[in-house]
Amino acid sequence: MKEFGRLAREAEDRFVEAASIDAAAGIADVMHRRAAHRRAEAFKRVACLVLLAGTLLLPGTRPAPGAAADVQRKVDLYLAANPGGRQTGPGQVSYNGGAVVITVAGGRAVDCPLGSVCFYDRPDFGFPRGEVHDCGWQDLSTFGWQDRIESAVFNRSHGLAQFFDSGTPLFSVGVGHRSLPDAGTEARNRATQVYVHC
Amino acid sequence: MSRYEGYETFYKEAFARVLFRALCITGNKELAWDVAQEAMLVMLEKWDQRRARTFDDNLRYAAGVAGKQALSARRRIAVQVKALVQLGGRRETSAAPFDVEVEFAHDLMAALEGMSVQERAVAVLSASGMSTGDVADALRITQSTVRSHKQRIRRGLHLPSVVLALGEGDA
Repeated sequence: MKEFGRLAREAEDRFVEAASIDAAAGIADVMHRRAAHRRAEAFKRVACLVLLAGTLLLPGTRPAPGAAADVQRKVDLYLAANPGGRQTGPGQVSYNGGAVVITVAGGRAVDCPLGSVCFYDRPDFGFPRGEVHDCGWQDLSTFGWQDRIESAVFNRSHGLAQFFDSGTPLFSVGVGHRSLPDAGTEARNRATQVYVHC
Repeated sequence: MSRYEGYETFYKEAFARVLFRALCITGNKELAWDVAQEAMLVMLEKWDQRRARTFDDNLRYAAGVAGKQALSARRRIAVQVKALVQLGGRRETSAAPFDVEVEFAHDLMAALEGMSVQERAVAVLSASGMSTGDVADALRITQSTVRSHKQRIRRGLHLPSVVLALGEGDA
């Protein structure tokens, strides 16, 4: 017969220990839904296969040659206006050693990459888009994104991202609120920094 | 000195503990993440006033906020379920199923599963060392409600294999 308080403290210590081994995997490993967990895992596997097949097979996902030239022109202009970046793909520029990736043009609005916090120039996740992959502070002015974020998506396994206007919290996205289609009239186009808690 | 200095360290050390307590109260993984994050946001907003306090004190405060958020969230869900039933939906389960397992804490989870959400909040916060008054303040309920929850929990009505002792001289 165990005392509840001791039982709770022991379990909490073990939980924290498991979580600290690998924050994402540890917590996910030790707590899971009962029957729903197995169904969700099976669904995820099928969904990945369907998405992969769609990416490989669907026609029309590549831009036409004229469109490619237009995308490249936008990238060149962007890099000229916000030096310090490096082009990493068609329409994409990275800053801070890859911690931040900007899709200047040519993106699709449904695919904030896993492990990223995405922020968008327009409401409802309208491109251009920026992605932050690292934890900690990012000064949005470093890559020309101050005062222009109108929506955001959180696609990391844990934590949250807070957007600030010169130190004043504006809005956040996290595991509890993954999508913010509109930052709202008080916060739209005001963020100057983002802090990603990991 | 930055307004948020020291917060990141607190977050890293406290988050998993707040999350675990939220999990014990809500019995739901997604909701636990949600209320734990909300609690840490509240802590961030108050960090200026709270940074000088001890880690344990701030941890209890954050867990208390998570507990309050969990009660509010469960209440909202219950209202939504009731509305759906009134609109002709079928009530297949209760509004607040305890739907989570922690591999090494079966006894604890089984004990919590038999309680109401408010009883779970009282049990978890009390077990972390909060007094009756602190628990009442955190959950915005009266001290007599906290005491009656503790009595019910102590009687072990819900608990086949766990004896509850929620703090000495604190009933």
